Amino acid sequence: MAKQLPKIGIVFNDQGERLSAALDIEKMVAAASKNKAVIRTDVFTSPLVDNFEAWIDSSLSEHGMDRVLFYGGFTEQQKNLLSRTLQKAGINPYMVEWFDPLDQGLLNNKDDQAVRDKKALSLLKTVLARVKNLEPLEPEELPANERTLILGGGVTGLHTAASLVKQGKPVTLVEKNSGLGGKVAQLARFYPRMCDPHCGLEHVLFPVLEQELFDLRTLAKVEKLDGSPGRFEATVRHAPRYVNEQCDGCGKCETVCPVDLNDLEPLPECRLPAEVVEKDKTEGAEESQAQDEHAVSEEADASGEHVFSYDTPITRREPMFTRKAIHPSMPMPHPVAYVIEREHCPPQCRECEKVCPNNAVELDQKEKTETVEAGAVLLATGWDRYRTDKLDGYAYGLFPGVVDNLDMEQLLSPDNPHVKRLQGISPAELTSVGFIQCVGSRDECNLPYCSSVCCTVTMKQILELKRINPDVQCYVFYMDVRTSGFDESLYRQARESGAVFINERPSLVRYDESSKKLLVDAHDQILDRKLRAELDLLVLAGGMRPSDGSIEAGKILRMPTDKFGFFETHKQCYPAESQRSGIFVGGCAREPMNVSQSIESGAKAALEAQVFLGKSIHIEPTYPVVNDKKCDQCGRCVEECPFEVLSYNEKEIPVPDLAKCRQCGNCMGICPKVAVNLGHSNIKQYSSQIEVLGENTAFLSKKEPVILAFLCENDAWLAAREAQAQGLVPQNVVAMKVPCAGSVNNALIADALSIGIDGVFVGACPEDTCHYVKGNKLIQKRFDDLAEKLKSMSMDTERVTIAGIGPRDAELYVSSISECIEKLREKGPNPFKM
Amino acid sequence: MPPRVDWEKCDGCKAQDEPLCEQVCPGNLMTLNKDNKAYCRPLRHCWDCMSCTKVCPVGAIETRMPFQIGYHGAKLIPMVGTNSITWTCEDIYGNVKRYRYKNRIED
Repeated sequence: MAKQLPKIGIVFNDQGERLSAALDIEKMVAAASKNKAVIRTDVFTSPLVDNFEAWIDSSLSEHGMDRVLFYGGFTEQQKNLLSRTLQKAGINPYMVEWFDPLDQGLLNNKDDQAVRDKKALSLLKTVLARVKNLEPLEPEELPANERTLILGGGVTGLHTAASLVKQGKPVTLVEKNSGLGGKVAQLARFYPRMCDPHCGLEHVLFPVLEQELFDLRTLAKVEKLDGSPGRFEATVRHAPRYVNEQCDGCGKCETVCPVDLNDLEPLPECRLPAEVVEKDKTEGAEESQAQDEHAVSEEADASGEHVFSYDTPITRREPMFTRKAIHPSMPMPHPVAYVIEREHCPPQCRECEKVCPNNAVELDQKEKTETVEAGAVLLATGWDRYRTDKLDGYAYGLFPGVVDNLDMEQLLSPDNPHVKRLQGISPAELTSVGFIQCVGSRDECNLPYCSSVCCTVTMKQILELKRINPDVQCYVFYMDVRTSGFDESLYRQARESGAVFINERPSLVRYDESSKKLLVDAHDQILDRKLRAELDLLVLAGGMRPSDGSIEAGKILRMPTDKFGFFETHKQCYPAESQRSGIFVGGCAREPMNVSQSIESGAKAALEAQVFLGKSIHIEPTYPVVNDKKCDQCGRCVEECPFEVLSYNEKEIPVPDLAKCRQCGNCMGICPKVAVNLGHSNIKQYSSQIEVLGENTAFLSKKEPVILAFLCENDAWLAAREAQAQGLVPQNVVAMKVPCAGSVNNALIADALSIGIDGVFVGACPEDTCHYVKGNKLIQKRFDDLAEKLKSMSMDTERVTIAGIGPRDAELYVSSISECIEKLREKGPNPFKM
Repeated sequence: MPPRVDWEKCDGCKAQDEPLCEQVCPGNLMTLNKDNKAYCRPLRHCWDCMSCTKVCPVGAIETRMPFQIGYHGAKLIPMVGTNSITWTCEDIYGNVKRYRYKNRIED
């Protein structure tokens, strides 16, 4: 196909004489008109909108214009209006370029006008090189699925599912336990209103249960997730319940069941075989079981960072409750059908089957798997308690009467007819109860973070104990009381109720056999006095850790987690978005939070997920395209993409999954063969500009260095704009906007240096603030390699500089650039300079 | 003289089946060792074409000059741009010459 010469129309926006006051416009118009590709150049001094349509009409009919360069300052509103008018006239929105001379310091009247005029001409040529290489692009629509797949039927998952169903969106809720409710259903009371959690959960659940849109799968887990956002395909494994839907919960079977199970036996749940979870790891499993003596074993991985691992919780304490091997769904009896813990059944026993009036018992049910299609996935896999028995001094499990805060909730809960309370502790008979706060939390050797709810939970439990028995004496041993916000009123009430607060965390708990009391010695720092508490019950306020289900789901879905195992999100800006597109995170799987925060976080996640839940997904055409002729299949882009977007097609060429892609362009920056191009910011557009700029560096005297600055459009570009608006940036700098610093390919820097540009500056985000997770780290690594190469080429490594610049760091930008210029002045011109 | 690989820098092209130097070598001489670091198998078969040196994305490969061209200490370093290649020659006395060539690869 013969290449047609592009036909560029240039519009100079000289409203309010902004341009002509600073620059010699006539010269520029003359220079632009000399360019063969430019078909017309017009200077508008009045508002453009009035006569713009006439201008387009004549440009199209007389000159066959196919692209437009707007030169000057435009507000977003004007840009919007103009590009819409152009689009109506048939010009693709990606065939339009906006050039603001302010960004390059051309309007800065403090500097010499002769220099600025020359620089303006150079930059006009440069930007025309880009305009020549613009390509028309069309957005894409991908198929989507309206269904949301929610993992976890706790308070977060349940509320989110209910909200979605109310909006008319289908939901599949996958819960590993036999019943819904999660941890919240095991609590005695909600704070701050001290109501029964079952009431709150059922109030949400009942209207949803009947809805056709609500697809509930209990005793189930996702064991595999294929596809991409908008069209996920999840393989769900169902553990057998051994009771079918005929069950109406009459409870006859429970009366004949010969088996009693205590509460140290875990509740029935769907369990995935190890090989499903750890696909790549086969040897590690045994090792991790061997080291069970430390709940958090801090291993140093290859990178030298500490990795936290949790082993399976083994509780050594005395059993407190018993249940039958056949019982209603737990923690909440929804769904209604009973469940049988078959592994505890005596051989040949079929008593429940015989007695069931509805023929609901099916003792031969088998495990099965099903596929669920969904548009988005929401992880609400929650938390588990931290193993308080790891703190030896507190003797959890060794002395009777030492419990953790979740045990305490069960003790305070009203009696469940299906769960028999064993002889022992009854809340009404307690006379003195102690609470130790931060057990394992805010502790370098255990969980270094604060679990945020335990203090308020203790206040709640004190108030509940006082309600049951006003004479009970409560002691709280604490480091700091963290009852933030309105929870403070619970703290005040607890204080007013007569609970004693002792500002020390004791190290040892002893047990007096004769009096059957627990003895806790402490030194009150406020009274400066030793005291001893004699307790019937000691509650250890243990912290929250990511649940085993969270950790397992993280492995299966290949989710990045922080070092404690919570799912990583961009906490300030996108708290619900995980680093895997289409997978969202809510509740305590993200970080420790209380019930209302969990519900809100789930709602936020569901709202963000809407993008993938429509009839189709809209994709902007600025996605990366791999040139399969150039690609050598080295796989670097596949490996280093921050969002695991790329995979190989049948020809072994990496292709991006457009629904997952966030269009940061790191693949473009990484590719050693320069074979990846982002739509509307491709390599050719940059390299042609660099080439033209390299040939037109004479706007400064020979001694003055010219610096090409690649600036991340999220951060450094904004800082640079601000600095330019204040007139602080020297004329040595030519700025170029990039989607992410990580999208700058080393070949572009090599281009710039080899054509005689004195220095290259890359403005990335400050450390750990990259919106694309690690773009700044990736470019830093490549930069270091390039600097080494320059050294071996006997060039000054100072010619390349990288700096982390936040969006408001205008001063930092100016100082880093000035420093860079100063160094290059010392080093002299680039040896490649013509 | 054969290419020398800096194993500190070489990342084995992230342990792909064939690293770039292996793909590009006309004599099929480059390969990965068991630690996923590239090396040149039969050293004396190398033609000094420098393909591997040019293509290495982390700049881990250096081709040392044959003594007929330059004694120890002389260097020839390529730097690859988008459509150009830049050569830096340095002789044993430290005299540097630089050349930039446009290559003809189009999209």
